[in-house]
Amino acid sequence: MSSNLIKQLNEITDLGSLDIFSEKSLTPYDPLIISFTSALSKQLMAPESQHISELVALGFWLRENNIIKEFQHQFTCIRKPVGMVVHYTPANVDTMFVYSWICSLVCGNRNLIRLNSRLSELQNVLLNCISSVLAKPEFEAVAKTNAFIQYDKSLNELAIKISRSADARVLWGGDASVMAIRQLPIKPRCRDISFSDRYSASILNGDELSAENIKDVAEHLYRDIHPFNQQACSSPKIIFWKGSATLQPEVLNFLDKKFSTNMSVTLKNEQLVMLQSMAVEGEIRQAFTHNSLLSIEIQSGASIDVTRHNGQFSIWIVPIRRISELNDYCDDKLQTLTYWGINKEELVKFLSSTSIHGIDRLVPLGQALSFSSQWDGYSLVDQLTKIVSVE
Amino acid sequence: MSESSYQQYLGTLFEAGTNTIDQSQKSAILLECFRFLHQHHYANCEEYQRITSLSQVKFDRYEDLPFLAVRLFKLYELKSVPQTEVFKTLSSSGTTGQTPARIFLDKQTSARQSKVLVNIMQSFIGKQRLPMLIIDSPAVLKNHTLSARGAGIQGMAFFGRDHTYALNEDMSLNVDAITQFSEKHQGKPVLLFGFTFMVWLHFIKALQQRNLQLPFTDGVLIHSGGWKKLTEQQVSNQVFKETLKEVTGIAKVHNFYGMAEQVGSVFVECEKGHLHAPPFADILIRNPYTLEPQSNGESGLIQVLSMIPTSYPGYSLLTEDMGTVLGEDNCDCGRLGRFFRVEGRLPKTEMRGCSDTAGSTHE
Repeated sequence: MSSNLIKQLNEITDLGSLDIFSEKSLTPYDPLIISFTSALSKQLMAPESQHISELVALGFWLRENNIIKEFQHQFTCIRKPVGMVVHYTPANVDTMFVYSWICSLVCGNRNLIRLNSRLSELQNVLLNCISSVLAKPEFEAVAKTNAFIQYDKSLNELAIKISRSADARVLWGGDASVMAIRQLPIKPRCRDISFSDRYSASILNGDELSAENIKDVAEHLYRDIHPFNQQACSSPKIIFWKGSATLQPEVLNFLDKKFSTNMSVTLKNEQLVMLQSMAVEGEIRQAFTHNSLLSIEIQSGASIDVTRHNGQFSIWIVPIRRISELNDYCDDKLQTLTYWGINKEELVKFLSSTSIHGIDRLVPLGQALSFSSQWDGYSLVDQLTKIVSVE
Repeated sequence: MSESSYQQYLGTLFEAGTNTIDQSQKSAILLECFRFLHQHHYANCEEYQRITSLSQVKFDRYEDLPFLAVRLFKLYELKSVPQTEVFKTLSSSGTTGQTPARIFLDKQTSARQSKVLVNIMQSFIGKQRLPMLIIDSPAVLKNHTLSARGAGIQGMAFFGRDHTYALNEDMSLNVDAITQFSEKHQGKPVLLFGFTFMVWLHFIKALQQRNLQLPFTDGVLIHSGGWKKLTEQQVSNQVFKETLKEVTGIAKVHNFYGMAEQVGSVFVECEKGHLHAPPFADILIRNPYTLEPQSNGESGLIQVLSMIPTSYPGYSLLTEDMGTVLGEDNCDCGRLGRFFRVEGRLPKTEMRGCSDTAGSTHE
C-alpha cells in the first residue's frame, strides 16, 4: 500500500508529476491539519498497526490534546509557513523524522520527504498508516502538499534540483551524511535544521534509592533505553551515578529483566566487541554481563569515547559525587540528560553556566524519547515559520 | 608450563597426525599449550592482559579459556612481540569499506604456520609435489603488504611445482597458460588451488561459457574463502563439485575453513564432506544469545583455537561465523577429533537511530 504513497523519481522530469510544486501552502495551525494528525494518531494506535511500541508512542504524541498543548501557544503571533521543506530521513526507521515532519506540517509548509531506498518492516507499517489517512477525501489538501519520494543519490542533477527548491531543509543523519547533503546548492535564504550525531545520558541519585522505588527507577530507565535498540540520539548511553552504589546491582537486575527474550542474534557479539575494545583502551573499572544488558563501570578519570557506544543495550556507568563533575563530560554532542532523584533547580543552575556546551534537553527519567517541538536546541516552530513583526 | 614443553607438545602433534590421537588425548595436550599461550600473551601483550583481567581465567576445559572477538584485529594492532621482531604483516582482504585485520608475525610464528599447514595438507593430498594450477592472477602477489589472498597462495604454492596462473589480471581466463598446462599434464595427478568464489565464477563458469573441457581426471582441487557469494547464487557444495567434475574431470575436492587471524591451522573438508579440526587446532560452538558453550549438534558461533600464534594474541578467537559440531572421533573418513560444518556469517547488525541518513547508505 505504501507504494502508492511513495513516488520513485528516476529523472528530473519526474518532478513535474508532483502536485507539491504547483500547490499553495496551507495555513499554519490550520484545523484541517489538527484533524489530520488526530486521524493519524488513531490509525497508529489501531490494531492493524501491530502494536509496535515506537508507533504507539508516535500515535500517543499525535493525540489531538497533545498537539494542541504542544503547538497552540506557539501560534499566538503572526506566523507564515517558510514554504517548501525538504526532509532527509534516516536510513532505518526511526519514527523521529515523522515528528519533525508533523512540526513542519503544523506550520503549514509543503513537505518533500526523501525516504531511504530500502524500507524496513516498521517503516512499511508506518507508511501504510500515513498513506491510508492521506487517501481520505477530506485530507486531499494535505495529500497534495506532502510528497514522499525516493531517488538514488547518484542522480546528482535531481538531488540539486530538489535541494534548490527548499526554503528549509531538515537533515537527519550522522555528521558525514549531513555534511554530504549540505554540499548540495540551496537558495540564499534556505534554512538548515541539522540533527547530526548526538548522544544522551541520565543522572541518578543513588542516595535516594530504596527497596520501594528501585523497580520504578528500572522501569523508567527501560523506557529510555529500550526504544530503537538504544540507538536514537536521545537514548541514554551513559548513567552518571551520584552517591551510593549499594542498590545499583538491584536496579540493573530489574532493568535487565524488563528486556524481552526476543533478542537480536548479534547482540552478545556486539557487546563483546564493545567490552573488549573498552578494555583495550583502559576505560573499564568493572563490567557485568547480564542476560540482555551489558553494564560497564568506567575507570575514574578515563576519558571516554562515546563513538564506541553503538547502543546494544549497554550502559556506561560513571560514578560521580557532585553534579559539577559532569563538566568533564558535557561536550556539545551531549543532547538529552534525563534525571532522577536530583534537584531540578540544582541541575538548571549547573546547565546555565556558560562553560557547559552540551545538554540542550533536561527531562525526567523515562521521558528521553518523548518528542517535543523544542528539539536538539532548536525551536522547530520558529525555524519552520516566518514571524511577522508588527509594531 | 614452559616454552620448551610447548615446543615438545607441538612435536608430538606433528608426529601424531589425525589418525592416531583422539579428542580426549588431543584436548589434554592442547589445553596445556593454551595455558602456556595465555601466560605468554598476558605477559607480552598489554591489550590481551587488560581484556583477560576482566574475568577470572580457569584452565579446566577449553570452554573456560578466554576468547577475543575476532573484530578486535580490525580495530587494534595487537601483538605480543616488539615491533622490531615483526617479520611480516598480514592483512585480511576484508569487505569493501571495512578496515582490514592486521596480523603481526615474527619468524617463529610464520615458520610454525607453514610447518603446520604442510602437515595438515599433506595428510589430505600426499607428500608429492604436484604440478599446480593456481586459480588467480600472479598480480595478487605484487602488493607490498601481503593480502590474505596472496598469503594463502604463497602458503599453498609450497605443495606444488610448475606453478601456473590460470587467470589474467582482469580475472579473465588465461587460455594459453591453461592449454599449455593441460597438454603437459593431461591425465596425470595435478593440484589446483583457488578461492571458492573465484574458482566458481572465473574458472568453472568461464570454462563452461567457452565450452572448454579440461583433462584432469587425476586432479585435486583445494579451495577456501567462504560460501557467502555462492549461497546468494544458490550454488551448493554439491552443485559446485558436480559442475567442477563435468568441466575439468576433477573428482577430488577439499574445501577448507581458515582465516587470516589464524593462518596455518586450517580445517579441511574430508572425503565425506565434513570439516575436520587438525591436531593443532580445535573448535567450540557458542550460543550467540548467551555466548555459553553449545553441545555437539547445536548451531552457534564458531570459536577457533590454534596453538600456532605466539607473536599476536590470536590463539582463541570468537569468529562471526555460525556452525555446528557434527561429531567427535566418529567421522566415516576415519580421522579422529571434532568435525563440523560452517553455516554462514552472523548477519550484520541492524543499525537504527538518528545517525544514518538515507544519503549515506550505499553498497
